[in-house]
Amino acid sequence: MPLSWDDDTGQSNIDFLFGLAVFLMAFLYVFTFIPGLFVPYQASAVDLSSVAYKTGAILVEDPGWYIYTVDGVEMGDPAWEDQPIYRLARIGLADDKLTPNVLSLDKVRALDDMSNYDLIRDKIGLSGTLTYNFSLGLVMNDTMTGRRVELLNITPAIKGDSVEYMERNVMVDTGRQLFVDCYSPAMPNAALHVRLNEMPADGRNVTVRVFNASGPGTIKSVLWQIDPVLDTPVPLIYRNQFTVRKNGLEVPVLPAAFGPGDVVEVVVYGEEISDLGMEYLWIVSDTSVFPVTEISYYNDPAFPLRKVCYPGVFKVEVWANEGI
Amino acid sequence: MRAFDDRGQIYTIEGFASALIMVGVLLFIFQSISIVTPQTEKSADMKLGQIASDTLICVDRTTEDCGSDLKAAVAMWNGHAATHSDDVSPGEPDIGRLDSQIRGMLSGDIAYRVELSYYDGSAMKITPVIIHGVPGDNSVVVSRLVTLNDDDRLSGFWTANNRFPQVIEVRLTCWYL
Repeated sequence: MPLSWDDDTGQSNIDFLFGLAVFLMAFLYVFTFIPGLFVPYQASAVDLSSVAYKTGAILVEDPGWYIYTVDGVEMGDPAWEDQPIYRLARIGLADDKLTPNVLSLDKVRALDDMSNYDLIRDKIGLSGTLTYNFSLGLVMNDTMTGRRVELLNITPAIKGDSVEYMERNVMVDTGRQLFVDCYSPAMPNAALHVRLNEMPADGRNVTVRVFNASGPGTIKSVLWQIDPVLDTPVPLIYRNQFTVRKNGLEVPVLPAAFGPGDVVEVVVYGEEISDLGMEYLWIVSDTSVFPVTEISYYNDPAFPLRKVCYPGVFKVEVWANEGI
Repeated sequence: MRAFDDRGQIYTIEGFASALIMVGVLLFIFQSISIVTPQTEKSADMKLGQIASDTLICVDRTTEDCGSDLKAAVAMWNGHAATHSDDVSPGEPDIGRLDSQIRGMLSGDIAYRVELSYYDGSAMKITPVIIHGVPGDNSVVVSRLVTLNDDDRLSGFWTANNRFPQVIEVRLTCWYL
């Protein structure tokens, strides 16, 4: 086929190059001078899911850390919740490293009490070269009462556009309780005698859980004494110095009746124990339902001091910090 | 040469016009289809796997004062398999307790099944003990090992036929409904 003389489809002439250059410059001009056109597709949003995973893992599986110095030597310890904030190195909510997913209620409360959002962000590792915004939530399912309790809800007023989240199933350790199984105790007694003098004076509440009673009973009063022989037991004032919960709900006024299927928790406040120097407690019922033996709260061979844990869901949300 | 040369069109205002059209097309494409970030599906699987693994960790929680519920349920299991008509192995109260614990930890839109993998004296066997439906697409499996020791309270199933001591794999399969 013969070539046509007026064929103007030659493409590599100067016109085409010049035209393409003008087009590219115009394209780049439009692209850059309309900021935010493609913001949702920017690269910084890509790593959010791994950041959410990392933050959740640190908070749920690590007990945290604080730093103090002894004679100029730097030392550390996981019990950061009892320490001033300036010593805090890293926030973690686990009871200890050996039991991941078991969160300490004390640590959760300490985190909930921290009001400085930027400080929390720093201590959970979200303010490195890139800073992220976050929200933390923990909802506990109190299986005894069937209520859902919101233990943690740290969230800024405004959330970002693309939020990545991570949910972790956890157990919330609500503290230790003395488990007194009253099922057919030998020689039942109307009063439960609990020895406190071996426990460490750490200001924690003393909780005695009475369950599996062999018959109906009624908690009338709780008394304390220092010497079991010389002193007359002194009654504690209800709701000022102790409280009673039946099946997880606080009893408004004593006496509190309970049956074989009920779980009764008698909570004596920790500061009262240390202030008064209580060494023995008497929990008094109107019928003989309690074991007759004296029970050591801290270290009894028959009645264990157990952690009471309820399941919960811990949720971390992160998104890019647009301000920086 | 020709009198009317029409090749010099593109270095006019049309350059800008075409750029605008290109940007418009790009925006149209980005916004009309839902942009799927790479590995979104994997991330959903990872989250489900993490929740399932957390659930097994929580039911297998051992403290110095009380043994793990998962281990107790496995140790007291008497060899009865679950079927599609019996969600939970019949006649196994400990497995029933385990089922309600797992149910309480997983949200309502997650279904699951639990299987035990063990040596039954002559061969490896996999027996389902909790069945809540047939695993759907994108199911995840997590497992945890339970060791039966000398001083554990064991059911008659484990003490018979040289089935003890051994390590049992507990498999939890989860999927979204």
